[in-house]
Formats: sequence, C-alpha cells, structure tokens
Amino acid sequence: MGWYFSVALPDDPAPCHDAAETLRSVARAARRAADFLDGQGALPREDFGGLAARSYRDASATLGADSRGVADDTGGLAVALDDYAARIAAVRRTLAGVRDDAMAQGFTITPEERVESVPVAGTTVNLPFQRLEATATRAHAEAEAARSDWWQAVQDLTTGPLAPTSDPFPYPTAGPAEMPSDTDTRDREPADAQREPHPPVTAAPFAPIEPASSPYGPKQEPVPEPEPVAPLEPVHADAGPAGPTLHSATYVPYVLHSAALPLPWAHLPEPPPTPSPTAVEGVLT
Amino acid sequence: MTFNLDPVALTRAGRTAEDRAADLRDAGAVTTFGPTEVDDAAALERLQRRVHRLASRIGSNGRSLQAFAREAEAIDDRVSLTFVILSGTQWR
Repeated sequence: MGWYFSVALPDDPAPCHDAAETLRSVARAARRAADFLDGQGALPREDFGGLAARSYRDASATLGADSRGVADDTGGLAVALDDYAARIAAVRRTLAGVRDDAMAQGFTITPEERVESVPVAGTTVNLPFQRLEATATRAHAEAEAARSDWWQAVQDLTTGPLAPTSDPFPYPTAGPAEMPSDTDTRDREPADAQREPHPPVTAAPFAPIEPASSPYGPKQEPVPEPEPVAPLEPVHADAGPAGPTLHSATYVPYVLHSAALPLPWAHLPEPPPTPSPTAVEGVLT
Repeated sequence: MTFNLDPVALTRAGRTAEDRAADLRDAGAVTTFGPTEVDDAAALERLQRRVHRLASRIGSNGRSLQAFAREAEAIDDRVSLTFVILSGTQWR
C-alpha cells in the first residue's frame, strides 16, 4: 500500500515533423495550382473568347478557390502537427526530469514507470513526493491538451469542399494510382459550402442549372448535346472571306452563324470580342 | 457565335494544368499524420480524397482545353461535331 504517480512518456513525436513536411509539400503543390488557376480565371479574351471560354474561366476561378482552400488547410495541419510535436517533446522532457529527480530522492520506480512512495504508518505524503507528483500531473495534462488541440485541428481542416464526410474509403489507402475516378456525385455537402464559401460564380452558359448547394452540379450527367446535331450540315466558308487556317494564325476569331449552329445556348447574349491587332476574322456560313 | 482563341496558348495552358494536377496528386499521397496514438484514418482519407478530387478536376480541364485547341486548329472549311460538342464542354 502506498502512493504513486505515473512518469510514463508519451510516444516520441519525432515522426510528426516528417508528416508535417509532407503536408507542407501538399500545401505548396495546391498553392501552385491555385496560382495557375487564378491566371486561367483571368485569361485574356484575345487568347480564349466566347461562351465556352467564359464557362472555362468561371470553372477555373472556382477550382482556384478550392486549391487555395486545400493549401490553407494542409498548411494549417502542418502547423498544428508541429505544435503538437513540440508540446509532446516538452512533456517528455518534463517527465524524464521528474523520473530522474524521484530516483535521486530515493523513490521507487516500478517497471510500469510509476513513482511509488510507501509512507510510514500515521504520516502524510511527504513534500518532495507531492512536488514531483504535481509536476508530473501538469505534464500529463499538457500532453492531453496537445492531443485534444491536434484532434480538433484534424476535424476542422479535413472537412472542406470536395472532402467526403462520413463514407468509408472504398479502396485501400495507397498511392494515387489506386485512387478511383472522380465520379462521386456528392461533391459538396451543404455544411461544407457554408463553412468555406466561394465567391459567387456566374452561371456558365453551357452548364445545367445547378443546385445552390453544389457549385459543380451533378457529375455524371452527360455533356448536353445540342438537339439538332444529327442533321448538321458541314458549314462551308464559300460565302465569306477566305477563312484563315488556324495553323498559321496566332489569334483566330471565328464567326459562326447561330442559324447554322442552332445550339441550345445560341440565344444567349455574347459580348463583342476584343479585336486583336493580329486577329484575322473568318465568317463561316 | 464568335470564338476567339489562341491554340498555342490554350495547349500550353492545358499541359500546365495537367502538370499541376500531377504534382498535386503525387504530393497528396500522404500516408500518415504522425504517431499511432493520434492517427485518424478517417481524417487522412478525407484529406487524400479531397486532394485527389481537386487534382482530377484540374487535370480533366487541362485535357479538355487541349482537345478544344486541337479541334479548333483542325477547323478549315467546316465545323466538326466534336468541336461543337467541345464548345459546350461543362468544365469541372
């Protein structure tokens, strides 16, 4: 019968720094992708103009925001993991010091890493034991707080847009080659969209109307085919000026008559293209 | 309907998008968070899947952009059905 307290060390957190570095590499890759996509979102109309270009720019802007979200979250995870590792390392140093002090003062250290004191009958626990126990208790509490903070960071930073919420992984976690194709229709949970809102995206002229909670819309819907595609006749350039080939032109604006291509979106207004100094116009009727 | 496009610039942008997607996909193959006692397999899977989806979309758009540029370059005196369909591409 006696008093005791634990000086068992938490696991060595050294591998956490490696994991944090890996997370930082993800953040860097995501940030590079975000920078590129931001540029695509602001692509000059001379390089890519028209309705398809507008929807491409919108999609690029949305993906850019997603990439930046991934970069921020993985960067935050790396910081949280480093913080966790630093705090656990400090706890280990403290508990090792308590253990050494206890041995120096003649207390028994059990194989279970417990400091024991067998009191003399009728006496209270001695002061050195109380002091060591208080230090060890504070260290254990700090380790628990570090674990709790890391856990909270994991919950907060791994649930952004594009992240599944509760489904188990349907395949073993291995290299990217084993990842399934991106066919999940639950792209964004409503809660996710609220947690990390994106800037409003103008409805793409070609895209189907999307539900408010899903900036991408259903994934497996086929590309909308224009109704009158089957009888579409080849459009010849005889009626207009000689149409330039794109092989030799840097900027090639084409004017296609809506009547010749009665596409579903043909009624939508299209802003006038910005004339390029090197542009050559062709009219295909 | 008017198209302004620079096939060279679009092809280059499409390739860059594919490169960025590959970098992201490779970097996203995170296998562990840290010591076993704080590992959270579900969270790790969420992170992996989120990164993978993002990379998949960036790469898909890059490939579509290159296809768009190829079809546009191929236009001579007629508009192909492929080009018409690509014009309505739903970018991801």
